[in-house]
Amino acid sequence: MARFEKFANPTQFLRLQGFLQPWVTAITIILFVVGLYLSLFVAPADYQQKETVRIMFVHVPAAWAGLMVYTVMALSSAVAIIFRHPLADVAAKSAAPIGLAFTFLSLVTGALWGKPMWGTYWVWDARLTSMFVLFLLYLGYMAIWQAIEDPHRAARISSIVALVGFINVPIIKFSVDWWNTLHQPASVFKMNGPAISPSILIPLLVMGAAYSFLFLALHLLALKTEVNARKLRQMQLAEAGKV
Amino acid sequence: MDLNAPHMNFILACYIISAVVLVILTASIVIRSRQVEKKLDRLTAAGARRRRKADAGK
Repeated sequence: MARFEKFANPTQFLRLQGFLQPWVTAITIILFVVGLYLSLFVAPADYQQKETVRIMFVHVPAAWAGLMVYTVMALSSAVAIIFRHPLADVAAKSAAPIGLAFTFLSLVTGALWGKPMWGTYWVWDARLTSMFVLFLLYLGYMAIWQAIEDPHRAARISSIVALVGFINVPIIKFSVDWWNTLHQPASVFKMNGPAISPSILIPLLVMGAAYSFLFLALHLLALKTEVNARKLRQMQLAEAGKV
Repeated sequence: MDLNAPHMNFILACYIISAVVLVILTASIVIRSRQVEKKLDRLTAAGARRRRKADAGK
């Protein structure tokens, strides 16, 4: 616990970020190069969906990342509320735009996959609707930070919103089991193991890792920027106080 | 990958949109990071200091 608390200090965090950033960025680039090669040139066409199955390699990792980022936001918000960790609300705030982008991508690529497979871009079924609600939650969370000038108040209210909104995450995950949806049921994270052939599962997992590392790389940089932005604000306030 | 396969326009659109969105996201985070660092460096060079907690309470 003491070792963890050490990184509550923004200076310690910035040192860690400086060390990790180049490594995480390099791993992200390697994973994307390998993942795209496997997805576009190695994975076979599906017997039913043919080449259209390749949309899965960008759609599913974007959806996973959208959910993962919201989970990170909710955990950070809980830590901010309970322990008042100085970096927790910074972590949640800087994760939101990244999660919004991933969720947007999952919705758009899902619509583009739906048209040739289902004959429609969109249906209001439980999975698609709950994913759209996640997109709105990200927008709402970011709007709070924009609308409230006092950062402490904004942090408190946005943390509560992030925590309340977390109820949507299990709803998204289990929507395909709880309701009759057009969206296919879970085929990777299942109790009795993945239902996908390794020739398609491996590229999918590599792309999933690439999106996760991209989040880590962008989040580290966004966190550093937010810590510096707060430092800057304090300096500007101090300067204004002198006048 | 068979480029003449049916629905190839949907597949390419997905990859292109994903690439564009992720590049814009990355660029916006990198650009903001550089802007904040530049402003911070400028203020530090000008001799500005952070407001102390004691000052903040006044």
